[in-house]
Amino acid sequence: MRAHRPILTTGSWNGIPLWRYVSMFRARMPQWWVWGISAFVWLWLLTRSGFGLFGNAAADLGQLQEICSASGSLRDIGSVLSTVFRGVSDWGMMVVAMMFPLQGEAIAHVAYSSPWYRRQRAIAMFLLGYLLLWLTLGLAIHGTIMGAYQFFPGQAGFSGLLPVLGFAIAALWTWHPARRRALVHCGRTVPLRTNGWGAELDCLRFGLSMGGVCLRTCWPPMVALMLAQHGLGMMLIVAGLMVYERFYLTHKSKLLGYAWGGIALFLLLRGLW
Amino acid sequence: MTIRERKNVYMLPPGDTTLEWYGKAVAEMRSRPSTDPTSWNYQAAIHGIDTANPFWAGLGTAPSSSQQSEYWNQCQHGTWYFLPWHRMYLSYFEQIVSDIIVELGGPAGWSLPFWNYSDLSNPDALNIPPAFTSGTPDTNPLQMPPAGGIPGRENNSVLEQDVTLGALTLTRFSGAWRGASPGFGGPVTSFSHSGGAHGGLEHLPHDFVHVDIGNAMGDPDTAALDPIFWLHHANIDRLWQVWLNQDPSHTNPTESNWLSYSFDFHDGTGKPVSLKASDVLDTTQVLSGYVYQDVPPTTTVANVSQRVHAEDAAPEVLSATNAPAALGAQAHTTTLDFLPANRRRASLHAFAAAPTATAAGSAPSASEAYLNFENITGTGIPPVYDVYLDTAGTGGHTIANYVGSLPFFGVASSSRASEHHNGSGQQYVLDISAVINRLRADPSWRNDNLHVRLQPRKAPHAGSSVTIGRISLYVK
Repeated sequence: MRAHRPILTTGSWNGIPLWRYVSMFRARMPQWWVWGISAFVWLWLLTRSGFGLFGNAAADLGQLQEICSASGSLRDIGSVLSTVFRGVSDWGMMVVAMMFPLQGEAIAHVAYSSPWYRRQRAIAMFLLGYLLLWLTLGLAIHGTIMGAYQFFPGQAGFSGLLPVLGFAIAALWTWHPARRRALVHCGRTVPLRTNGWGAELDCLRFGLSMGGVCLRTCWPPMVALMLAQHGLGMMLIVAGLMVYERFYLTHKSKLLGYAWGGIALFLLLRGLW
Repeated sequence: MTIRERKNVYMLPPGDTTLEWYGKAVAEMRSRPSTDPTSWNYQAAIHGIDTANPFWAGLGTAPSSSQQSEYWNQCQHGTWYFLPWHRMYLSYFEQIVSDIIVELGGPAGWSLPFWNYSDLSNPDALNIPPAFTSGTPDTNPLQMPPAGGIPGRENNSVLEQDVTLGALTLTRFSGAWRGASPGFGGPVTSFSHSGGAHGGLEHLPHDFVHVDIGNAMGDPDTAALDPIFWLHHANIDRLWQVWLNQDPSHTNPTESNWLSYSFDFHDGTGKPVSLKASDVLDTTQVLSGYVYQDVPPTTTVANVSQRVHAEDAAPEVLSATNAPAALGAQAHTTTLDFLPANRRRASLHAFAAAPTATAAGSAPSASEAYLNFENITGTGIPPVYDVYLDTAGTGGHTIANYVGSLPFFGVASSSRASEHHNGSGQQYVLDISAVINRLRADPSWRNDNLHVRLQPRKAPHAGSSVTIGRISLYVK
């Protein structure tokens, strides 16, 4: 029989070796590394923003508009692709930072349904499916924005209004029955196979499915944040509210609707003055 | 105002009018329109409603869809909110009935009696109290009226094996690990109209009393239409208090997301109100307060940590089926093959290596083992299935190898995706440690020869079906 190898061979607390605590933590929180990635992305975003909490909503969109609409044609395809890549990767980072922590229940389902030797792989497959769907949405939105600037050049002034519109839609979405339905579905589970390709496929498919549920629930505030250029302060507020809703409020609560409405109003007033 | 005492329905003194006034109030509530929050239909719909079900044929005009969405189909099952939600629900129902009795000229302070079907000292305990079965539905409002050719109740009694109180021995309110016991009160979830694993008390006796009585009581979408529902749940609520009183280590959750989660109801005047779990921990403080006959209330809320200790090991999945199992009129047998790579894991190796240890002359180490039935979906009211373990592969099912039963209460509603359900189905967890440890000690034990046999107690009703998404074995 192979015994557990202590990670921390010295030290104890309450008479129990420390490695037992580490072992228990890993068993209780098999998704610990997912949280680690989210925390790392938050840190990276913080340092990248120079610890500035609120971004310039119009700046990047203005840049995109400039590239796309110069002389009314796509002159510099390299710049366009680079800008789109940057936009989508920023979007992906935002999803990792904000949405992964909300997936604790689904990740725990995947982890504990899988045998220990393929637990981390199962989590990774789930996250891959989950992220794929969000990245597809990010790409579609950036494509739409590019198209809009291509066909309606010289509308940079409108960029500042987009986040306001985004959060206003997010507020209205809170009252929509489809959103309430999607929120209830955030807790869904599926039977997962334990071995073979079927097991990988099940996890990937579950990730895609949960990505779909999450998209239906959270797309408006996430898109609004993207339109607000991923301002870190705004991201923190939105992430905090979404976590609070998920763990402390019933699916009938309208608190987030009022919060998104308040943010829309704040952005509007900030734009006006 | 004096604190109410909820009495044992079988111990009401001669001449007591509790049930007589309950019957009058039920008749009055049934006469009120379904748009009235104090009507019988409205109160029952708070628990659950399926307008396609014949028992709801008399619904009449319903409230607005937004009001339905806010207040109907709210019952909490397969969750750690099961007990507090039903306590709130019962308390407001009791207030409504009490107010109506006063309106009808009856005494003030009416309290809901409880039906203690587990009372072995009472030879009639297994039977629905006679006041609920005498006469006909036309003459006795405490009867459950038939609908669509279906009698209101399938049986007027419950089985002794279905009202045992093993749940009271569980030490945790919520299970610490997925795959293992979900605890006395149910697993940690968010809002769960149905879904997660049923907690110990919810599984047995709660679910079994529902399905043993059957028909309206057998489905959460119609159960609260039956006047006996409320006495059954008063007993479940009482057992929560009994469990708390039993041992200082039996404590309610202290997590803020349990304590502060609030639910919406209507009070005795029909006004919208809400309560949090933290509002109903002490029964003497719930609305006007109540206690149960012969059960002292908890006056101080214990704050004992139920955190998992470092010594606790997590259960690991040792085996799981790779395809759903559709159950029918015949017994269903599944073989649980242990995952080969799992045998390298220390805790699992110890479990799987048992026969060798026995051969060497030492008894195999005792393990905790849990049989999980996951993502159970279905339609109608399926029969109860008894579960047996079998190592001979002969299909035999002896009482010695019996590990528990699956009542499937609410399987149909938990399978429908809606704004109240996520449609994932239900989950049951059976603690099979005692039986499997005995089987492992047998020289004939082989890791590739463990069979799970599901035996229906009776033929399924037409239109009922049940499929188990995955059967898995967790050990530690």
